[in-house]
This record gives sequence, structure tokens and C-alpha cells, in this order.
Amino acid sequence: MKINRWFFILLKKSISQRKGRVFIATISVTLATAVIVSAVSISMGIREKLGNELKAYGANIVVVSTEGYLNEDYSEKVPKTVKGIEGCTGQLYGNALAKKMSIEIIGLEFERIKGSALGGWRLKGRWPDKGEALAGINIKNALNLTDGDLIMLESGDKKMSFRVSGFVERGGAEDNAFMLDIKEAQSLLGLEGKLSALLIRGKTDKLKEVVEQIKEQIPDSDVKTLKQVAYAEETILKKIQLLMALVTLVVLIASAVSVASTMGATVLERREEIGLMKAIGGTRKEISLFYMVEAAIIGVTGGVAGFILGFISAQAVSKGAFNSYISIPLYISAVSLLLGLGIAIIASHFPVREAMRYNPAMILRGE
Amino acid sequence: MSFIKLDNITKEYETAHALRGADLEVDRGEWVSIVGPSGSGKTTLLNILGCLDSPTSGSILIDNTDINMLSEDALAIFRREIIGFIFQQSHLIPYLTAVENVMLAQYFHSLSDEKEAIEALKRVGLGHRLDHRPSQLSGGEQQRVCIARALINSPKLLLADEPTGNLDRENTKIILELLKKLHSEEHFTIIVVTHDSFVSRWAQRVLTMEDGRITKDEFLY
Amino acid sequence: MFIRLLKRSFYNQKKAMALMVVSVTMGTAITASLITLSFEITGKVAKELRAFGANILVEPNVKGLASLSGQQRYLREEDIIKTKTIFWRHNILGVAPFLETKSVIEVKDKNTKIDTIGTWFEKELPLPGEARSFPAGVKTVSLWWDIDGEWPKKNEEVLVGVTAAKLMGISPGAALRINGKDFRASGILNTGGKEDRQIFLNLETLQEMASLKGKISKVLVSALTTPMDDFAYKDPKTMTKTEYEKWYCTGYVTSIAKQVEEVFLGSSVKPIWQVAETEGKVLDRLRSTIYILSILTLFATALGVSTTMISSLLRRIEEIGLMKAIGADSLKISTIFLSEAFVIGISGGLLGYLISIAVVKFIGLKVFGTVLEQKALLLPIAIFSALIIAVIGSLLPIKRALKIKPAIVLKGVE
Repeated sequence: MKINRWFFILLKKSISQRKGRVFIATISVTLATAVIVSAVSISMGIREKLGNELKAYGANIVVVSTEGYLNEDYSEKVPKTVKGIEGCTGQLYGNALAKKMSIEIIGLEFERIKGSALGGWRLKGRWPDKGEALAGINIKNALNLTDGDLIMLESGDKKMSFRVSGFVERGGAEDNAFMLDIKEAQSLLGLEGKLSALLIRGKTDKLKEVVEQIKEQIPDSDVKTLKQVAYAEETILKKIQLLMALVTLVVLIASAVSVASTMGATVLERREEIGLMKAIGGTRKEISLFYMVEAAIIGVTGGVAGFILGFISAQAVSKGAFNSYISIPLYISAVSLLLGLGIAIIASHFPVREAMRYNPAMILRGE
Repeated sequence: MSFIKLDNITKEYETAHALRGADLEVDRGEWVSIVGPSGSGKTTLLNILGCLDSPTSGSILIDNTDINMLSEDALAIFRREIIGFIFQQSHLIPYLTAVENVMLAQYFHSLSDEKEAIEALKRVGLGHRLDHRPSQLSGGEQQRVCIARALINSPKLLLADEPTGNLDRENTKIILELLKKLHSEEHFTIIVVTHDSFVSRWAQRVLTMEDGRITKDEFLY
Repeated sequence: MFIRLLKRSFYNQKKAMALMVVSVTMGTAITASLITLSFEITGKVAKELRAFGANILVEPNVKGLASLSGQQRYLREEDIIKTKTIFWRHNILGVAPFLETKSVIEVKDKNTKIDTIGTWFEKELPLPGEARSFPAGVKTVSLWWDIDGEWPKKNEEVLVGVTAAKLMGISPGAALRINGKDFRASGILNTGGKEDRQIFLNLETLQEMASLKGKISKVLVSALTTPMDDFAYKDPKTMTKTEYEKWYCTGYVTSIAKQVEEVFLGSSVKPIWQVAETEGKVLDRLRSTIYILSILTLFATALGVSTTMISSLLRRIEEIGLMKAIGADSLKISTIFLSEAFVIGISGGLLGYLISIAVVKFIGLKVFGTVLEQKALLLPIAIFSALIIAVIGSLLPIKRALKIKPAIVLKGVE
């Protein structure tokens, strides 16, 4: 085997004088790599993306105190000290009289709920400012409220009035309650600095660890996993991940085969050349080395171009489907390079070997 | 000891017998022509001599080497050390220039040496067309590149299959005169397959083949 | 002669032709599979999403102050089965009634007042006018219920929420008295929600104890729905007649809720938005992912097929030159090569479709545990698009080859 200057001249000529064919082969490696890279990136990113969508199902961990109330500091502290928390908000529950009826009051941290992980709110109207409140849809019907009404709430000897800024329909307890800013709810109920519960959204795949950490952080607490949310999310995400993995596998196989056939066709076309090289004394090793190096060049070029194209198309898919970009781990670039290389070399290996099995005499006579 | 010794060579293809027992001895430095009607087995015999094809039965000794004993890679090495080819269709690599096509044979043989390759092309009268690609050369010129390529590694045996089959009389003469000059300088053995009596007359010895056998063996001088 | 020529051409270049067919086959297979998946996926995943439980809540409709006065209103148990008579009855996958009361629980001479909920744990509802029955109960709407012990099987067995059980010192298998009647806790229930503080028992048993025969407080319904879109969010009251009909006959969670309300006497039916809205989003995202991915793949495979066709045809330029030399005109040559592309396209399309059946079945079985059926409609589409791909892939090289002068080709020069 001789890899010397002449070997590279030969290679350069073979590529530069056959631009069209080399281009076609490179394009086909590029496309296959691109499709594979984007399918892999998407199937790896889909868990996170769909996880974001599932956040709307709300908290999957609830923390209550065994002593009655929690200190409100925790709603600041816990997300900072515990890893794997995507959202955290404190709530305060109580009852107050409105129009002589006892109605449930929920104190909420509106600022945190608005754009965050703990969603699923269907709000008609707007989020409340200071001195304003949201009313549950059933309350609206029961008390015949409209937007902007003033409502007087009484608890013990405290009386506070709120303007209704909107109505909430959620299909849960909120439908039967008034929702106030947590500070105002605390002063109305005389529970300054207290929370009834901490609602936390932990990453689905790290839920157990998050629960353990919270237990250590908050003494005298009862940390519960909301089975409904946790179970369902895990089920769904697993299924979808499996689905994408299989789709990716299918894409991978089909693209690899498709490239193999293109590369195979370009080598078949050169059978005569291979026969000639054999006739003038090239050994099998020397000849296949030449074709393999050429395939490797095509493979690497295709792999790099494919990665770039795949990166762009994965972003396009992600933007189209999830309206956000996807983060693609760096090692995918190495993988796509190897993929391009592997496909190109394997795809040329067989037809070259095949061409060499033939008698050069037969090939040269054009049989 | 003769340079080439074939003993009862047969070659069967799936549908036909191409050779039905050919015996042949050729001395070192001889110029031999093989003539005969098409289908008589000329080209098959030449391919077997060139180790491009293997016989169904029979033994071949070339330069004291038993070809049947060689592995495929050993055959390739044997070919580049001992044998040079000229084909009817000038098989040249289309994307290489004339000089590069010659260098390719050097490359497989040992090391490519551009000066030597240019020298070889000058000897076949193509000093002015070194950097042309095959598509830019005439048929005769292409064939001369093939001769330069075939002889670049100083083979002991030159095999030519209808070397002038695609050429007019004038070009044929140029090629044959070239071969004659080189033959007298380097004393290699030449075996030419042809059906053209003008070509076969340049040899010292003419073999006639019919139906897979050598039926006539005449020495011209 | 034409057919013979075609036959010879295929026979003589078995490998090159096989490569082209393989390439077309793969392209068709993958595209057909992805298209089918993107059609089928919404339904399948929607079913999986039912793991989140009920998405529709049926409550008694109470107007005005009465709803907050503590005075209880009830729904009729007999209306439950009517949910399986609405337009979208086949989309109702689960339904469970609940009767909420407070009871006195006695464990080891200690009394505690606690929410007791009557429900169906598991019940086969006979469908009206049909031989089949419909499985209903908590198990069909709340798949996440985590039970230490066993589900109640007898009328005197109950489930005790984990918080309540801790409070009263009840373990699985323990005896307890509810309102003076003897029961056994067959299991301890852990959901992380308000159920942890409640006790669940057989609906009929509780109805008898509370003298509320045939009455229930609420019903949870789990329904397969079409994702909400902009149209679905329009207020049905402001819709035109055609719009309303379209809305009513689409399986939106709101229209199914509306239909359930119509069959439940005195009810107010609302979507559980937390569940319903997210579901729509997830389905939408997933569908567009697969959809975009299939377009991408279609595009890439079409190009891949063309490259194979091009490289296979380029080496036959000599042949084209020869045909020209013996007097074939451009039309005849094109016809021959296009016919080849035609044969390749049809066989590749057919094979690709067959492979896609297997692929779709495999993915369906692996992911959803059910067989996804490849639509027969896709067969002509698959073959047609494979044909188009093959023909387009051949156009360029044929055009190029037609420009070649026969003389040059026959001299053996490229």
C-alpha cells in the first residue's frame, strides 16, 4: 500500500474531473445525514418540548405543613435550593363572607402563575392588580357578578373590598372561589407570612429526587406527588419518545439504504475503470483503498453538510411545531460525521468488492 | 527453457468451449501473432496469458512461474512486474491526462516518476500532447498512450488484443513501426492477436487458431 | 420489439435497475409510513392522553345563591347511561359517578367525621339496545389511583385515603364502622390529591345509608376529543346555524360537554380545562412534528431517488448515442427510458407500500399495543408519487444524453 503524493493527485483528479458524479453522491449523503440528524435531534428534544406543553397540567408536587401553615419564605427559597424545579408557587386557603355567604378564598401569587409552568387557566378578563380579585365562574353565576363589580369580603373583624377584574373557568376548586393576591389574602385572613400549600412542578424524570430534596428543606412538611399528573405525564412522554425513536430508526434505515443505492450506482458505473486498474497491476488492496478514500471524502463532506442542513431543518420543525428552538447536543455533529462516513464507505465497499471479483477481461470487453 | 509454456489449456464458459486444449511454447524475445476467425479462442488465449482470466484446466508457466499457483493479489503483482497490455479499445482513465495515465501504471508498479513518464510518451511521439485528456486525443494517439503505459515498467511480455482494430492504415503503420523499434531496443516478448494479415506479417511467427485449438504454427523468418 | 428492448434492458442491467427500485422503494416506504402515522397518531395519542383522567365534569345545575347555600342538589343515576346515546357516544371512554356525604367513622371506639364518597369502582353498564356492555367506574377515569391492598370487591369493602388512614390508624384489611355499619378497608388509596382525606365505598351502599336512592352529586367523564382550535373557542351562542352544526358535530370537548348536558337532567357540564386544553396542545404539536418530518423526508427521499436515477442513467449515454446512430429519434429514445422509469416507479411504489404496511404495524404494536392499519387509499398515492419521483429523476439525465452527438459517443470517448 502506498499513500504518497501521487495517490492524492489521482484522488484530486478523480474528484475534480468527475464533479457531477461526486456532487450527486455527496448530495445524497448530505440529504440522508440531514434527515437522520434532524430526526434524531427531534426525537431527543421532543421529551423536553412536550414536557413544556404538559406543564399546563400544573403542579405535580404539593407540600403542606403538618403544623397547619408553611412559612411563605419557602416559595422563594425552595426553587433556588432544590434542583429540577420548573415552577413553584404558594397558595393560601380560607373562607370569607361575601353578601352574607361563606365563600372560599384562594390567595395566589399572580405574578408567578401568569406566564409560568402552572397553567391551565381560562381567564375571561385580565389578571388582577392591587385591590382587585378574580372570581370563579360558579361564583359569577351565583352572585350575578359582572366585570368591574366591587365586592366586600369579611373575615373575622377584617373587611376589605375588591374590584373583580376577571372570571376563571378551570373545572376545579377555583370555579367556586375568589382569588386574591396572596399578600391581600394573608391580611384579610389574618395569616401574615403564611401559606397553606406550596405547589411545585418538578421535572418529570427527576420527580423522586425533587420530592426527597424538598422533604429535607422543609421540616414538619408533608410532600406529596400528585399521582394524576405524574403518572399520566410519564406514560405519555414514554410513549411519544418510543414513537419518535422508532420513526427515527425507520428514517435511518431508509436513508442509509437510499444512499447506498446511489453510491452503489456510481461505483457500478466505474467497473471498467476498476477492471483496467486491475489489468495494469493494481492489487485489490490498492484499488479498494483508492475508492474507499474517495468515498470517505464524500462521506465526510456529506456528513458535515448534512449536519448543518439537519440542524437547520430540526430547528425549522421545532419552530413550526413548538414555536421554540431545539438544543442540539454537540456530539450529534460527531455522530453525523461518522454516519456520513460510515454510510459512504459501506455503500461503496460492496460494489467495489463486487467489481473486483469479476475478471478484468470480461469487464474490459464490456460484458 | 522457453519463456512461455502452455500445456493442454481448456477454457469453458457456461455455454461454450472457448479453448479445447491449446499447447504453446514461446521463447524469450519472440514476436508472435495469433490469427483466426472470430470465436476461435484468440482473445481467450490472450487473456489467459495475461492472467486476466484463469483456464478451466491445463498448466501455464510464464517466466518459470506456475500461474495456477498464484493468489489473486500475487497475480496482480505478477502482472505489473512481467506483463504489459494494449487493448483494442484504448482503455484509459477518462479523468486523467496522458502523462497521468502512464504514471498510474508506475504507481501500481512502484513509484510514479513524472520525468520517466514524459520520456516514455516522447518515445511514442506524444511529447507535445502530455497534458491532454483521452477525449482530446485521436484514436491513434490514445493507442500510443497505451503503448507508453504498457512499456513503462519494462515488462518481459507485451500482450496486444487487436491493437490497431480501430485505426486506419496510416496510423496502424505508425503503431507497428513504433512497436518494432521498441521491440528491437528492449527485447521483450510480444504476442499480438489480430485478424488483419497486414498486422500479423510484422511478427516472426504466426499461430492460426480454429475452434479452440492452435491448428497452424509458421515461422516467417 | 419495444417490450423486448425493455425486457433486455432490465435483464442486462439487473444490478443498476435493482438499485433504482430499492431507492424508490425506500423513499416510498418511509414516506407512506410517516403519512399514515401523522394521520393515525392523533387518535392513538389522544387515547393515551386519557391517562390524565376525566376531561368533563357533570354537576347539578344550580342557579343563583342556592349553589352556595350548602343546600345539596343531586343528579339522577339513571342518566349516566345516556352519555352512551349522544352523537359522540363512541368517544366516551370512561364515566364514574360520585355521591359526596359526610359520615361518622368509628375505629377502635374513636369517632371521626370524614368525607365519604360513594362511587362505582368497576361496573359493566348494559348498553341500551345492544348486546355489549360498557365498562364504567373509577378505574376507567382515574388510571393513576395507587392502592396499597386491593380494590373493593364486596359491598362492605371500602378504600381509605392515605391521610385519613394515618389519622385514624387504619391499615389494609382493618375493620371500621361507618355510621354504625361494619366495613372493612380493603386498600389504602394514595393520589396526592384531596382523595387522600376521603373514604370511598360502593355507591348503592352509601345511597341506602344516606337515604339518597338513585342520587349522585357529580359525574366524571373521560372522552376522546378533537383538539380545540380557534373556531372551537367561539361562543356557540354567537354562531350561525351552519357554524353551530359544524361545532356540534366535531368532537371538541366543548361540544361533547354540551351533548352530555342535554341528556343529563338538571345538569351543568363543563370541560376540565386543565386537562382538556393541554391535551389539545400536545396533540397539535405532535401532529405537526410528524407532519413536518414527513414532508422533510419526502423531499429528501425524492432527491435521493433522483440522484440514484441520474447516476444510473449517466452511464448509459453510450447506449443512447448508439440508438441515435441507428436512427432513433429523440422521442423514441425518451419513450424507452421513460418507460423504464415507469416500471421502476410502479414496482418501487408497490414494494414501498408493502414495506410501509409492516413498518406502520410494527410501530403501532410497539408504541400503542394496537395494530395501525395502513390506508388502502395510500396505495395509489404511493405508486403515483413513486412514479413521479422516478420520472422526474430520469428527465435530467435523459435530456443531457439526448444532446450527445452519436459520433463522439461511438468513438468510445465520454
